[in-house]
Amino acid sequence: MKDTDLHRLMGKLTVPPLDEAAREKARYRAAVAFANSPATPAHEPSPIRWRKYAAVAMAVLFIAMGLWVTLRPHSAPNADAQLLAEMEKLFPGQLDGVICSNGNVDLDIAQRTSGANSKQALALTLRRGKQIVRVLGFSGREVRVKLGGKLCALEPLVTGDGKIIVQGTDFVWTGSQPIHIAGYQLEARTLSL
Amino acid sequence: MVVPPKDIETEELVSLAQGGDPAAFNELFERFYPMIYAFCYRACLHTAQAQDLAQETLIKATRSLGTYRRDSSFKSWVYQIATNTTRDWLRKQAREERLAEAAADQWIAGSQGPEPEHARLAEALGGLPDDLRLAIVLTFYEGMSHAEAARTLGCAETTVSWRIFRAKQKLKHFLSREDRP
Repeated sequence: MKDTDLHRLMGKLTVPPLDEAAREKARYRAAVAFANSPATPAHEPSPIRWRKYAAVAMAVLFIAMGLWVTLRPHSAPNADAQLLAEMEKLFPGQLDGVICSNGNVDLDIAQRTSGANSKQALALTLRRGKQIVRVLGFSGREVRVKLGGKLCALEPLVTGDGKIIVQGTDFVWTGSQPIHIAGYQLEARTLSL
Repeated sequence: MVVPPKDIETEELVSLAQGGDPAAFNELFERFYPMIYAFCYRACLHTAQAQDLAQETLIKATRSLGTYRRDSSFKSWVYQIATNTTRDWLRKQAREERLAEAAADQWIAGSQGPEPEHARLAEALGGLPDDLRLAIVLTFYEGMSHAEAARTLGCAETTVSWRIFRAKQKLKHFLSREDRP
């Protein structure tokens, strides 16, 4: 048998006509599924939006690299304060904290301007063996830090007499006793901007 | 290749449906249900089952509409869902041995066509292994290129070409047998 003969035969396979009841049942069930599905526009980001994202990402990368170069050998209190002040200028009212860990610098930035207007800066140091995580932030602003793979929310507060209290999800540290968070020992000091 | 009418507008309809427009969704259903039903019928050779598979395919596609990212055409995307749905059914039912007889019986029952060639062809197609039959259905009946069929079936283009070659060999052999009516 030749291909042409086979094709001619295959062309004779007709499809039975659509059953209207089955069609309506399918339409109804699909419509129910449609009604229960959230509207999820899947538009690709426009090139302009991509450029914006890329520009912001590059800027953050450069800032992070600059910070790392600045902080790499050791971080003096003045350098910490300067770094925090510069970051606050870039993200006024939105910067919850600057987190330095293993040579990486990360920023915790709030979606909206923080209602907390405290400009009292402080530095938290978390140590576990040779690992050191430094958190630069402001009194009254919660900062999220990844410690031992777990995201911890820390809210430091500077009291009227200059003491520092750190509140976590399940603890309040007043500085009177050593405390370990996810295995990291916490230290704190104020910074002068 | 079966091109849906106003195919150029299909992507626009999809965008509208993704945004929650029920009229756009309804139009998409109208365009795709007959095509998917026909595909399912040719793949499983059973009318009632084809209706069920077409319904299941369109429900799955509706639920996943938000995940369609235009990496391929919407038609290819829906056919991929239809192929997977049909293949799953064929595997579950393990009907390879019985499919040919069931298909032939349905044709012989007389409602689908008077010509005995129909019954023989249905029996021949039903006797093909699933992968060979799906390759033939997608390329011959749905008009896809080997590359498109490969994307839909999730295999290499050369695999599709080989499956079509084997399917044709088997069909020719079956249909040429003189002891068949």
